[in-house]
Amino acid sequence: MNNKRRWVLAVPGLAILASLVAVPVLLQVVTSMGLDETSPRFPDWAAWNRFFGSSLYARVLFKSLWTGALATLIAIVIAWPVGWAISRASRTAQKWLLGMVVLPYLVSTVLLIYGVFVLLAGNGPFMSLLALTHLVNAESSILYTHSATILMLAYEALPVMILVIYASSENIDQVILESARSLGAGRFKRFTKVIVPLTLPGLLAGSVLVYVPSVGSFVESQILGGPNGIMIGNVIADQIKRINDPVFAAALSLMLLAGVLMSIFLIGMLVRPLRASETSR
Amino acid sequence: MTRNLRLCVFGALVILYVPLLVVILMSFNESPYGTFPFSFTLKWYDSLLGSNDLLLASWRSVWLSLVVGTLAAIIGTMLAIWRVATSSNLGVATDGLLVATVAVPWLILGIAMLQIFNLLGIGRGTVPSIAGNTVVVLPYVVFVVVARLRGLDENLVDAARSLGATPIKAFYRISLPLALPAIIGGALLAFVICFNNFTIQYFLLPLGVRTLPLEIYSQVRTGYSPAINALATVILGTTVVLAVILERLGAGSRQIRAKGNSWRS
Repeated sequence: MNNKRRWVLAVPGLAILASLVAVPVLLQVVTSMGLDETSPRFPDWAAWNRFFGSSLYARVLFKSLWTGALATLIAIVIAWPVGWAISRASRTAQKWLLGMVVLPYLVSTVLLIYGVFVLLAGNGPFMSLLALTHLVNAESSILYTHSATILMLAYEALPVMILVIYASSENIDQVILESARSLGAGRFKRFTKVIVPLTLPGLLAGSVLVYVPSVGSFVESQILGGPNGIMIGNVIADQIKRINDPVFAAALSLMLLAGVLMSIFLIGMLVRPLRASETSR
Repeated sequence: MTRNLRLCVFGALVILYVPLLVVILMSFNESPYGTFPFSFTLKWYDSLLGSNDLLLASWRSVWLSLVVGTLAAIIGTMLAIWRVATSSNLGVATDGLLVATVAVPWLILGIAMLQIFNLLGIGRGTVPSIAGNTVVVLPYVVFVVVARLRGLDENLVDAARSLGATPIKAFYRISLPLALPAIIGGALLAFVICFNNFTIQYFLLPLGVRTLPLEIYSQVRTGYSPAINALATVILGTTVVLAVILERLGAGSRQIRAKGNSWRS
């Protein structure tokens, strides 16, 4: 295929990427300034005045940002030993374990949410089992609280996180750990001084991969979160599905995007010292 | 693996699988509310066969995902062939656009796409939904196929060329067959992601036209029938089969690479 006409192959792909991703997302900026039939004039700053005029929306945005962060952190804590353990397993065991980790990731999110919904329901299997201990009432449950949303998001993040930590641990040579041990590094020191710096780049990539959809999620909070579990995603989706206000939806989407980008930037700044110490050695 | 690590792995697998196992168990349980004691029944599978809503939604999902998977495989493979060959700035920009498509939350993409379809006077519909789902799964196909094409042994193409094959013939006879496992793998991945993609379908399909994720969502919100448990179990089984096929395709590609390397040495 060494000819000049090869660029023809790229045309359909580039055309749909440009017209359905680049242009629409950029267009949201103009939409938020009132370019829509629901808006009385253009430019019109009503949507932005509404966002900055009350602390309500900023509060929901911050709540979504920390909810995503918390879910990501929970996933990291659970996934780290697992990803590490799989990277130290035999080839055959790795294949099976990775397959088992990937499978839930291929299942529909709505179906997973539904599974957790059934599991947590008052009088459901989980609460019935707990009630056997007579410590809790079978009808009480964390279902319809914000905790349920956070746990659900962490649950969804788990397969990705395990895979990412596995991928970045796989290349760590056992010899490095052995030499750290022979030089007198204890278990904790080997973890903080060897494993953490070496897996950090992969871990960061995985965190972003998990964090962004968590902050922008809305189905989890809608089904599991109850009245106080509202996320910025619910507010945005409602503008489209119930209220028909695409102008405000565009402004909220842009703020969500800005918030996500800013928190990724912050995470990058926070881990910079760790990275610097890695390269200086 | 030490004993502690083994416990961690076991614990994580329990966490991952308990919600799925609960759904499967419920599908065979007499009580519709998931309460104990457990008594075996197949009546929910029977009522699934009588539930037109769920069957229609399943059919719509399969149909949509087949179209989207096929489109994404064709367009994505074409884009990947171009991307591997070019080193232009446009190629780098395309990488950025593909990553952005994966990184921007689907909620924002869905709303932005709906807005542009509204401006064009098309609005919600089957065609917008096909286009929107295709663009969302496209990066996955491109990433998989590009990785495979970059991993191919260039000597094989050179050998075909020196034996008199035209560049196009060398591509169709050598590169394409070798890349085929990745293309099929990418298409299957696209199928699975589209089949499960609630958000894009939520915003782009016409009101009242429900695919499976939308149907499950609406039933969970308005009071669900336990036939969902039966359907979920069927879908889980199908997913396992698809995952095994995906795995086999990956295994096949490793074999070819190993052969290529041994040939080179």
